[in-house]
Amino acid sequence: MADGIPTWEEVARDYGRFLYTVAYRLAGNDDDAQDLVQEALLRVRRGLERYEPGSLEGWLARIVTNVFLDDMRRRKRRPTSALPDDPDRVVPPAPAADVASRELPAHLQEALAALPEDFRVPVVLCDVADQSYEQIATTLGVPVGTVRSRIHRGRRLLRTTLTEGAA
Amino acid sequence: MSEHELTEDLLSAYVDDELDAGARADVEARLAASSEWQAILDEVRETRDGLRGLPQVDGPPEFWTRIMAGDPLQDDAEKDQVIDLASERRRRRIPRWGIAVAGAAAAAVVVIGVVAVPQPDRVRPAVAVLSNEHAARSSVGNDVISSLASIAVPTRLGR
Repeated sequence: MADGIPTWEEVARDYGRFLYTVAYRLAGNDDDAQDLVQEALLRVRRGLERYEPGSLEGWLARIVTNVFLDDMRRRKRRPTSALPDDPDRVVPPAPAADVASRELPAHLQEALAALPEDFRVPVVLCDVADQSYEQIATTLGVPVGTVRSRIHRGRRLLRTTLTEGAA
Repeated sequence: MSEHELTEDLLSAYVDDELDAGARADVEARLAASSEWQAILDEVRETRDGLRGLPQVDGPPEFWTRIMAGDPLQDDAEKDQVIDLASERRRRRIPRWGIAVAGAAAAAVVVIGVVAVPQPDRVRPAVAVLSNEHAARSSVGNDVISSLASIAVPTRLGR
């Protein structure tokens, strides 16, 4: 690492798991996560010269989020298959005798994948990528108040999905 | 009570420590007075903790082997793929009929330019004729132009 700027190999090796986790939580499946990570690493390679030493994870989270949002826009223009956001495709978690608390972690990923994109992205950036509201606002190009509202509504929707699924 | 509106979404900002001191005090006052807000706060906190407690996910080893086998931009296939995607996006932005109309318009402009716009007359100074006329009018041998007359004619400058 020279002058605080990592090489492409260092990013892939040291932050690959972080990138993959954010990609997987955004996309909801391995195939799409792999595509997102690969495209994100291409953009990392092209953008490393412009990287200003700071929060590398923040920079990477922004890149993978932009890749995800670009991909979603492309799919919306040319829908070829059901998307994770499609409410008809989402299978609610199987009913359980015990409710939310015990089942919460087990079904969280499914509920997260079912969350509309507008809520899922800020929630993932906040709770998976550990970004501040200010950073998320910059990444998404929306006011901080919008980020605050979407994160709260996203969490509430998640909770509702989990509770209804467990009832 | 401070100037901001006390809305429920402040509860997520509260557990994320994203509120200034004034707003934080307002939320705490409301929480102390409202069991409903307290219940929502508990749910939000539990959901947030659940999300933050999700394990990290990693790709299968063969995925990383493929990635680490080479810098993606050093791979010709990847380069081609990037170029192809860019071309595809450009094609998608401009419909084919648009390209056809633009092409026809460009061709029409060229044709009109060639046919309709008057071309400037070609100036072909008949230097040999002029010098011969001058030589005939002037006295022989005493001026510069006359001395050139015998040279100017055979060199065919007028052609």
